[in-house]
Amino acid sequence: MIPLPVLAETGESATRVLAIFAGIALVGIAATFATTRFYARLQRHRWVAAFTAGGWFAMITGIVIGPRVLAVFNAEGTQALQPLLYITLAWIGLIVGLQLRRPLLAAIPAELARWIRLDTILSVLVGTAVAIAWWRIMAPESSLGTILLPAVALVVAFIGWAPETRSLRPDLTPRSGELAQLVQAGGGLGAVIAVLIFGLGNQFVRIDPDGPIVIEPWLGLVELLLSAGVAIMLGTGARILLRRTSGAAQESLVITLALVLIGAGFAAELGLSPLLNGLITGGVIANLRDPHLRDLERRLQSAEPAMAVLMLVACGSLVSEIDLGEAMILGLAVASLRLVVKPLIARRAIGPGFPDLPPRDPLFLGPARMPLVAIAIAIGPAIITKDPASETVLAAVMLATLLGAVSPGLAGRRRRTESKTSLIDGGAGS
Amino acid sequence: MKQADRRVLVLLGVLAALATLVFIAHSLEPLLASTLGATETTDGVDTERRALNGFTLALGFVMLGAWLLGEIVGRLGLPRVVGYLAFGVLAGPGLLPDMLNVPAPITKAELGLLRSLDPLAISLIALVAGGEIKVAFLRGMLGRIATVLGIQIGTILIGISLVAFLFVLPMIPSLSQLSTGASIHLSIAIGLLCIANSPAIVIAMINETGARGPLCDTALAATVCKDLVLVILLTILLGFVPIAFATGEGGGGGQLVGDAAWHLLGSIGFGVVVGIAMHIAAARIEKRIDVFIVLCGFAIAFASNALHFAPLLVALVAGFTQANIWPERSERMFHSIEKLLLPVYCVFFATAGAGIPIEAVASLWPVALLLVGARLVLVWAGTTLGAKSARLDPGIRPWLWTAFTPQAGVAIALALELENALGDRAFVNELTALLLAAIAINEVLGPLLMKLGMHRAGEIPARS
Repeated sequence: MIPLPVLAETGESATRVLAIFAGIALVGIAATFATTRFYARLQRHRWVAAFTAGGWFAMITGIVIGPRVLAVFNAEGTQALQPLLYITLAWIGLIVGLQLRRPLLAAIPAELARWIRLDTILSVLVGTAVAIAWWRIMAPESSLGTILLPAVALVVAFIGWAPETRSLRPDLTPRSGELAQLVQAGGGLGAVIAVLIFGLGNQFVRIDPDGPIVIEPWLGLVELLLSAGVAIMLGTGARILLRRTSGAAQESLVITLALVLIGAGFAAELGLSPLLNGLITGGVIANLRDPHLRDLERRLQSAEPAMAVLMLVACGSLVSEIDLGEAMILGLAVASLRLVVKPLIARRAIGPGFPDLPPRDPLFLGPARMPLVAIAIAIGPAIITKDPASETVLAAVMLATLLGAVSPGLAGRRRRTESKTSLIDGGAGS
Repeated sequence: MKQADRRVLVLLGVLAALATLVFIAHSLEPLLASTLGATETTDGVDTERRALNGFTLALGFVMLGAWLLGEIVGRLGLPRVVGYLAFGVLAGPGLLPDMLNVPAPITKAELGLLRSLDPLAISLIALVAGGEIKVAFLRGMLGRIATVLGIQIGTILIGISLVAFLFVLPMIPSLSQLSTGASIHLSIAIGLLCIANSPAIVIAMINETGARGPLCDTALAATVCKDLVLVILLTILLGFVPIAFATGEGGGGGQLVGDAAWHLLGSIGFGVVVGIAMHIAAARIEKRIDVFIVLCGFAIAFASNALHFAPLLVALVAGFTQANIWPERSERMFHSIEKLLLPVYCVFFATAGAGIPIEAVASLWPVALLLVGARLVLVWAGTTLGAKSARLDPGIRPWLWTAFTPQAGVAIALALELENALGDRAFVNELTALLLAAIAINEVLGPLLMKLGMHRAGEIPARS
């Protein structure tokens, strides 16, 4: 970087100097505000919780410091964000993978499995239709080779939903509590399926700056085995180290950071999916059933909000220069379709199991909200191909996530009378 | 087999597995690239892209590997910092490719990226260091510290300049042919570089051993004050390069004074502002103060670089401001920074180790050893004499000098600044190699001596 005094000597750079400092100040203020007691109090409010769950602040901060507005990061600078994004993706993959504990998987109720199956199939169909329509209408000049991976990311964005239900249940009844649990569990499972579909797809169709490359099946399988091998090594290595060391917080921090960095680094070096690598590693850690690893899990999970914020700020910078109109149309389409289709699927799949709940119960609208992992998946094509189509899909997914965070609240809210009736009915039923 | 031995073996096993994993990744990368049909290019863009891809793995490898070797070395009774540095030497691009013709786990380009994290590490380390310096201690000790440093700096500067002029320069062919004026100038520059210490190593050693006492307090305050003096002296000396080497370049005395003033006073002023801002923000933060601290570290590094300030000084003053104006309220923040320091130390010192020019050490080791030997003797003589004149605690007088032996980042940065100031003159490569070789030896030897000194002064608690 050129020192500011030198920059300031050239007239045109004086504003850039101010812009850089404004950017630093903005990130500082935003970060500080997000950790204050005042913000924590605000989050107790239902609407604020819904807004912040979507990560508005972080994304807007990213856009503001990106190349289009303050240009704290220029085009070259956003390249340097790649390692940071790989690290956050690996971290998110780990968090998703930690849910793959065998006893938990074995305890999945049949109705949830049926719901997820139906949702995945229909989501893929709807997503494929949207992706084809987008290709034909908005990006007809792009070849199938260029469009394939962002299109897959777009399709995968329809799978699963955000597991947050707190903002949807102002008055929880025993029955709506059960439904909320199903929505939460379904959100977690959906994230696993989405990562698996995209990650496995990435094993056989590799993203490259010159376009996607179809990989021979044997090579894809070898790489998958390699990912599994690395995951097992990392999981068992972490267990051995945590057992043999004093258990001091500083040592645990080194092991946790190294686990994430090595997993992400291995994926980056060999062009594998950091999300899939993280998912497998998380699965291995979850199933080693070691009390030392539980501490590691807690540490990983406690950093999830920070990682999500970092990812969203970086994403905001990454999509700073896209065609906003195209991204908004696509994002609106995705959010609207999810708002229509997802509640329908939910009512169809599990509604019969909850006849005592009103069909307008906000919890049925919960699946309309996009999971954070959809953004993580859309990052892959955007950071590596640097293709405008990939960045448009990322921006659209981000917008859909933001809109999704508030749309269930706008579309339907449990009326006080309804909730009281449900409470009485639920109480009578039990 | 004892449990402790088993533990060392396990750590060695994990270290070997880690190295194997990285070698597998490095070996597979070109294989996969060729299988996928990627075109091999040798241009800078390809190197940069590969370095960017390899950076995350290199960071994880350096962090875990340095920590593991530090643990092994620590169990053998040596300072862990030596383990971190040694890991960097082993994994860096200087040793394996040149000496054994084996590809290095960390390439030169990856090392360059890892070094870009140095200002962040320096900021965090210096924040803690600033927090350790108390006004009450300084008020009582400033005169004594000034006496110790005055005598020590004078002894080292005169002694090393003479040794360099009479023995070191004549031993190196390209330096032996310089004019008398240029030789005197370079000898003084070498003398000044030998004054430099490593506040980072001093802080790391104190933290690692848990040592407390007058030796630690005096050493910490003195190394920090010395850095300030050194930056001023070297800046002035570099201003005389055009005169000494009879060239018409240079910006003149006025600009020189302006640059030095901007660098020093600006850093101090900015540090005070940062300290107050951090305190105001920290007081309102309820959770995740660690994230806030890392962000502050980045902001200090980024802003200092942009404003041409010294991140070490800015963070040091910021820490000092908080610890002395709001001693109780800033405790939570310093405690949180300390929790983050282990990974920072591992990466920072291993990166420093990886940057040691092994080739230079190998080719110039007799001259470098002469310089190191002379420096050690003069540090001992100057510090002991200074401590006696300042009437320091008799218990620490014989061992205080050991804290002034380590050299690292500051000395390397000053050596590179000297290289830049001298331009592309024929002797510059050999001179830089010599200086870096001597610094490298001090980097490894210094922590060993310092631990011995703290131990003999009775400041290391029994558990360490």
